[in-house]
Amino acid sequence: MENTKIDELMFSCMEIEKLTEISLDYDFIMDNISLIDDDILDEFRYSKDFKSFNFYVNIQEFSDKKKIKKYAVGIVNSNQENIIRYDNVPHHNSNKKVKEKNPPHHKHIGKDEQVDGFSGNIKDMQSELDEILKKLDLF
Amino acid sequence: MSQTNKLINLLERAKEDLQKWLNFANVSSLDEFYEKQENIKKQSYHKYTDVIEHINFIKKIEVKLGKY
Repeated sequence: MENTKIDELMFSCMEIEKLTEISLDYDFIMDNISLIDDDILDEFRYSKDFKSFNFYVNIQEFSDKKKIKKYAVGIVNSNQENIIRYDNVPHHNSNKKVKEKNPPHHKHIGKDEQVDGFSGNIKDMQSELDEILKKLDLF
Repeated sequence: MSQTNKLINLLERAKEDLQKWLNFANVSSLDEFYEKQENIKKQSYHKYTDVIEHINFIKKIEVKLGKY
């Protein structure tokens, strides 16, 4: 995820079947990115409500080349409970599951925000989110 | 669109989204958030920091728009 540009991340999320509606906000997202590219803003925050969940992307820091440095991407259900959250705040680096994957990248699963390892790879996140959102449709 | 108008749009949306972050932290208002912040922080680091970061984001946009 690090060293990825924000538009790459957002396009990658738009490719997820249940998140294609993000493209309706294309102009808004591009406007936000242009403010970052012009050094007017140094943060990206996006949130979208879907029928039974909310999807969010928070990029709190960018590198000099406007690539993602500190991120959080997640889904919350309609009861405001965490379903999954990917982030790289380095506070779980000593956790065995995080340590053996690719710290500080990690994920929080379920309403109890249980910590698990995450590769930090955008494609891994894309396929996992796709799978999770398809399962959500079963309920 | 001018960068000022982009900032105005972003600010409007960020203000709307603040309520979502408050809801995720299981509070209904900013006053309730400040009142319960120590408890929220103990329950979930992210629920607490997400609200704080969102408030700071709104302030940052307002500064850019020259409101302070």
